[in-house]
Amino acid sequence: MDSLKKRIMYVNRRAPYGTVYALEALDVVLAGAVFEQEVSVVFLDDGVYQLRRGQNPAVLNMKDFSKTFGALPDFDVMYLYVDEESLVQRGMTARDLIEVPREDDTDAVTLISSTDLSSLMDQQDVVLQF
Amino acid sequence: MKFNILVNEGPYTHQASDSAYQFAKAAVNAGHEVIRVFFYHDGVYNANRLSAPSVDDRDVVNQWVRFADEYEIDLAVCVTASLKRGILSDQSALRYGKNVDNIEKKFQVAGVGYFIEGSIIADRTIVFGD
Repeated sequence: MDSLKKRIMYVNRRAPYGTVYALEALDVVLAGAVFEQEVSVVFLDDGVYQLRRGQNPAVLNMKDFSKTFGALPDFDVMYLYVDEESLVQRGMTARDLIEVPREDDTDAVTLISSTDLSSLMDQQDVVLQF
Repeated sequence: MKFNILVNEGPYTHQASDSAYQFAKAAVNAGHEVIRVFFYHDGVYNANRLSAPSVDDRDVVNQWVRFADEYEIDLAVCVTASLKRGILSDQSALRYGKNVDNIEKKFQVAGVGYFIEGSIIADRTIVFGD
């Protein structure tokens, strides 16, 4: 029943701490994986901070949930798209981001241009922004 | 058309719930179907039956209940999001040793996967929140 498969894109636009949206968005991605749709996860605007390497939110009494992103390939989420422009605006490069290895050792974290991201968004059946 | 609706903010502070209600009502009155309204993040506070707004204000919780009764709409709150915010069914209250439950009975408690399932079944998923 592949015709019923939907392309679902989760768009993370907020910093990982400060509000609960990022954490609870990840819960949705994990819970939604059981439906085996075509899922992609996008990090845009302050959302790129969610993948920042070397987080230490323990000083804020928060758990470092960035480790959970590492489990996404096991849930058949093969692409974690990072908007390159958002990254550059925040003085970051790919080296500042965590790696999310797939089974074949390639990195699921993929930089994408705003133009390519907008055409990718256009191809989705469902876009959920958090 | 089949609509799946997500409400991400609580009542009174934010207009999300009011807008979702107006949208859902308009959709049904225009001959569309609202298959599900799911409450996530602070949206779970929309299910708090202990809410007691002043008499000259709208009653956000009750307007959902009346709407659901009249059009047989499926209302659901996320179990994880509601537990930590103190929105408890009678079963949860018992389980966690709390002396009161406060979920309005018209709302069922479900995993967030129930919302994703709705977005797969529906033609459109509409999100209300920031």
